[in-house]
Amino acid sequence: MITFALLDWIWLILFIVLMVICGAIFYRLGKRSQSDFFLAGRGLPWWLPASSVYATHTATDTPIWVAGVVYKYGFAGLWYAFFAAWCAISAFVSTRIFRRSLAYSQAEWQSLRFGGLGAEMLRGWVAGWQVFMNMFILGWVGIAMGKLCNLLFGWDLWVGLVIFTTIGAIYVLLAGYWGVVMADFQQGVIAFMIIVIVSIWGVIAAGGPEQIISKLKKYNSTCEWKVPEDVPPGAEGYIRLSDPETGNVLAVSQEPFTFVSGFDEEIYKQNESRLKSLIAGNTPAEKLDILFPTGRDSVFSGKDYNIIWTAGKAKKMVTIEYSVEGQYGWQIIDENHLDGQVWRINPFSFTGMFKGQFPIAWFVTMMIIALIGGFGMGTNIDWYAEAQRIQSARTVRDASYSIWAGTGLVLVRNSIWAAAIMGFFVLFPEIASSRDYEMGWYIVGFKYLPIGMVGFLFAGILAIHLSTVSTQLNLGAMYATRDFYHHYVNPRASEQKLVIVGRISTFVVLIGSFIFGTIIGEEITQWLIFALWIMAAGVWLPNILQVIWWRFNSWGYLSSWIANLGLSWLVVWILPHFGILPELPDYMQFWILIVLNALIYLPITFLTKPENMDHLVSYYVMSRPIGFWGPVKKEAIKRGLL
Amino acid sequence: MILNILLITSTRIGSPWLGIIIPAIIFTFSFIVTYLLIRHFMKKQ
Repeated sequence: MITFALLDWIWLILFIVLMVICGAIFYRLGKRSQSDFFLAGRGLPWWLPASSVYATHTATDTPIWVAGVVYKYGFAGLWYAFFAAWCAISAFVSTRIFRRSLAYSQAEWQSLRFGGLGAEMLRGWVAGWQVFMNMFILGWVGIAMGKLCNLLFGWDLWVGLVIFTTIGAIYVLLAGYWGVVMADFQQGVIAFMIIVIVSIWGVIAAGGPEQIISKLKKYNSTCEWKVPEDVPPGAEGYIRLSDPETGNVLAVSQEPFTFVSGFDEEIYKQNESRLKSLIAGNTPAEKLDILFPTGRDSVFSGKDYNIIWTAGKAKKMVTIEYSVEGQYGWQIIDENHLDGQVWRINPFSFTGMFKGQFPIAWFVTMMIIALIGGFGMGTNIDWYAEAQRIQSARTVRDASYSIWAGTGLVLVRNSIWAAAIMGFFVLFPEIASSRDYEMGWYIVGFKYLPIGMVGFLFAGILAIHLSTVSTQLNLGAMYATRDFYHHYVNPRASEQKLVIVGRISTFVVLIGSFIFGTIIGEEITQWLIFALWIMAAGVWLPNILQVIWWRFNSWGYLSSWIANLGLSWLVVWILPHFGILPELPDYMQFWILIVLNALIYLPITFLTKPENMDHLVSYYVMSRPIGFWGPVKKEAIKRGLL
Repeated sequence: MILNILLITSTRIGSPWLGIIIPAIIFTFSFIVTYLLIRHFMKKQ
């Protein structure tokens, strides 16, 4: 826990007041119409939605996630966050097409692109899914705030979740999207500055850039290891390193270590402090020698450790294995390029084409998903919040600039964060548990910033939190109001009534997020990867096809969604559970789902009729999509519409 | 566990004056930018 000085409280309270007033002051503009409450009247210059894109995608869980991948994979881990580069193509393709359509939401766009019953079903599905997803996203960023407050102040998880999400809800309820985008601008400025400041302090604490590089060169090699839980207590174990190409053994534990059940915090702490001295031990050697665990060590079953061996003239790649009770039955722990720690500063330190924790095949998959995904709509979960910003820009050009600049800032921000995390690693290289090192960026700030700056740092974190919370509240409410209430329940509702329904929907989404937050609790990362990436894998290509191919119809798109829901569970959970399919890396699951899903939606597309030509022509004339639209373009020219 | 240890053993770097100067500069900057933003849009609307 940390202690706030009076100065810290002063800065924090001042910033909270400024943030809430900045949003709430636009109450008068927000209540004028549905367009004002959800799109700020579609009249914003590019830099406002751009700052909102940046601020929204900087959430309390983002530094946790970035710290996790950079601490584990070094600078190469930044590629995990490179999906934001979808803006490079999207800004000039799908962004422009979407802005021209004038749809409020992605759900509404479905009924402009497609027609008939299929389009209505798609609109209802996308709207329902988005209301759910916004509650879910709010739940997880809220619980991340709860965890941080638990660490800093010792509060129960729900306290941080409820208090700080409710503060954001105040100005969203009052001023709608006007409040969101104006507060985002101010919060974006504060958040960016605090990220830069913490990174500077992190690098200084580690001795400066030259010292960081010099220390990494001297550090010994490590490999994370979660000790198996099913080993009998008291059993003896060995570690060995071998050449992955020839299979030749390069080093074996000289003496066995012991597996221990239960947990003793004192012994675990002693181990951690010994590990630090072994990693930073500056003991370059001619031959490989395993330093931990060795004969005098005990490791607790089910706990995380670092296996350590000497740096020096070791192989670039080694296979790390363990054995229980004798030197047979070796189990692979990992295969990696682990000669010392200098690989951490190389963003291209791959572990082979398909092998190891960071293969080139994974990298290529990430590049394709990010860059080619820019041709489509909804290829990335971020798209749905961006779609609102695109429509709030005053022109098509403003929309393009806002998406390009906003997501560009996100990529720059990631690099600045990475500097602080590298400093954190040099200072604390022994941490083996991801739950601990994921908090690295927060630790650097709260541990090293001077008095007064601690309160300012918390204000920055609050800015990060509120910017995300406010967007998701308003976005979820927009789908509920525009695509459910206005479209299905009361199409003749007045503008004033729609604003009132917008406020009620905001409140419902807020309450839903509290329920989700308490359900999510501590276990989140695995569900996040599944929900945001794998469950979206099968619809990645259909999301592009719906934009660039005239013949792709509503039944093809709808079937891809339905098929993907079943197939993703099969490929990721059910088939591996019964041993029918091995547990595959996530990038291989992605490609399998792409192929399997295509085997369903492509035949359905060709077996059902194309969309009505009148509907397609009116969509084409309004949106001017690129790609394979030849027959529709010809028809539009024939009718004298182009 | 380790996080609490790291936080308790804080090692503040830099003069305490920085805790006043840096937030004050950023606070003032934010205030001015926010004021200009509000004035611009209130006038325009």
